[in-house]
Amino acid sequence: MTAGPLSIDDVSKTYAGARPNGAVRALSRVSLDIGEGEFLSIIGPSGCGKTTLLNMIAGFVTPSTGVVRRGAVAIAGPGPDRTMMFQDYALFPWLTVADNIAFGLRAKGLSRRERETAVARFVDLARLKGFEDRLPHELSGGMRQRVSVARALAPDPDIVLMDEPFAALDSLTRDALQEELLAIWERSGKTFVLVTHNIEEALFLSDRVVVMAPRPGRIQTIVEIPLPRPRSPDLRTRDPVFMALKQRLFDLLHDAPQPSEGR
Amino acid sequence: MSTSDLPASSVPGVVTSAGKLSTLAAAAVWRGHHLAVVPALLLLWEAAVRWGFVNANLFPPPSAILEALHDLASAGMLWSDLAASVTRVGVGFSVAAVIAVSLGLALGRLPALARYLLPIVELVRPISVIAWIPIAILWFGLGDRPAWFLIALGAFFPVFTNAYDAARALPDTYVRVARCFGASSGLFIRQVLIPATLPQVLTGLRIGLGTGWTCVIAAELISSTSGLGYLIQMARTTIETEKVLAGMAVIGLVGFAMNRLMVALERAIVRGPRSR
Ligand SMILES: Nc1ncnc2c1ncn2[C@@H]1O[C@H](COP(=O)(O)OP(=O)(O)OP(=O)(O)O)[C@@H](O)[C@H]1O
Ligand SMILES: [Mg+2]
Repeated sequence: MTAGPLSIDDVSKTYAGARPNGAVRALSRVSLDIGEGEFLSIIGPSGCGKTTLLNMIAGFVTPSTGVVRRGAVAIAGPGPDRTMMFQDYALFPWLTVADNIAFGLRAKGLSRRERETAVARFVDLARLKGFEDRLPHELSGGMRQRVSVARALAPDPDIVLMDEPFAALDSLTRDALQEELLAIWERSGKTFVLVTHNIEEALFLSDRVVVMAPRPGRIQTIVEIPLPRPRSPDLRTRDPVFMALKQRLFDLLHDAPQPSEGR
Repeated sequence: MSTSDLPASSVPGVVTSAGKLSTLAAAAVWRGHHLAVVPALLLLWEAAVRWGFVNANLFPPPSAILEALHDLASAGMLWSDLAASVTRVGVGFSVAAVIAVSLGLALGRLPALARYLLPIVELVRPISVIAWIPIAILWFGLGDRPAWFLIALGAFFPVFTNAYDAARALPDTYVRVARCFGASSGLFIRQVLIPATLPQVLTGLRIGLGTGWTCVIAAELISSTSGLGYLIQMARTTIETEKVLAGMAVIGLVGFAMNRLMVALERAIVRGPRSR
């Protein structure tokens, strides 16, 4: 099995595009190391290559140049050591909550007994007790989100990738789920990589925030978040360090296009 | 009008409930009024024959057809021919269903393979099943086997096309989720491909069964010595027009019933989020 930290080594990605000369340079010379057990967020304006980068770590997209490694091994495709929470959850609408959560466990070839134990554990963790036999369309948005968390965590991956997991939720549900996710991460010891548009979300959750800039997609800055853990929810409104970092990230994101125009 | 005839001592409650009942009945009749088109047409036909507007030898009236139907049924011929046709469709359609669903789903997911095999399908599709009858007789002789072949051939295309389209249209996200968790092809087929394509595959099967039913009659007209197609062909040679029409009526009714059955089956199976 592959193990160890993730390293993204001088990666570029150009999408061919439908028309001639329609090629899009989605990522340009991106280098980034992600430590084991780290909570890392990627933030940036639309089209700066966040999803592309995440899909590359997942193994869905191959770099045009450069390489993504797990430990010493180059990532060549998707693997159960890295699971993903997809944009809009991508739950299977024909499977019950329990079967959705069990999907990765079936893929791993676990026995029925092992599956049932694990599903029960993650149903508890995601506070879905009593909803095991429901279909996704019978759940609220927040509950679907928790099924998606449970499905990603159940097969016990080392790295959990999340593409704007809270984008479709109202701000109250969003805050509550961020806190739950943080608690899960703290207990799990897993590496979490989160793509988001939301500065507060990135700040509240992460050890580091990667700020990206568009055209071509690249890393602008990496901001360390020195806030102590465990983090309490009122950090968001009270803490002066939090507020200062929020202002800094805001400025970075809003100044983002200017340096590239100067070049 | 009848209320005025009632004695003054009658309980008003009874009157109102009876009134309600009759309005309910009237509403039910009104809701079903579109179904009256068929009996109305039959009556018109009957009348036209009786009044001598049309030739009774070429257009025997519904009453004569009903009588022929009764004769055929009591002689037992109708039942044995019906059973022969239905059994043939059962065999031919089952074979087509298995092959067409698996091939359609497989080609829908394997575009490289589809590139080679799809042209063959597209070239064979326009050849009507009728055009296959001579070669079917040369290959299989007379009886059940050419009929099975022709039914399977006819039913294949609608089933295949629907399965193929559904598999091709499978949203990429679901494929990604399956790949992300490292699902085997068996798990992918069982828990992703089949449930995702099921509604459209069932529609294809329903259309395919209908096509199979039209094919069995065509096959039996020429290459068989039993079945409803054979029955109407024999009735033609003896110039019993009312028997020909009686046979045709049965063919229509059975086809109608098959379609209804498949619709009910679809409704019962596909009760997921997409049907709501
Ligand atoms: N499969 C693809 N084919 C061609 N171009 C693509 C493809 N995927 C992404 N792109 C292009 O690459 C660039 C980066 O896209 P990407 O989806 O990674 O951005 P993003 O940062 O996730 O944006 P958003 O915040 O809107 O989700 C965009 O210009 C996009 O149009
Ligand atoms: Mg994106």
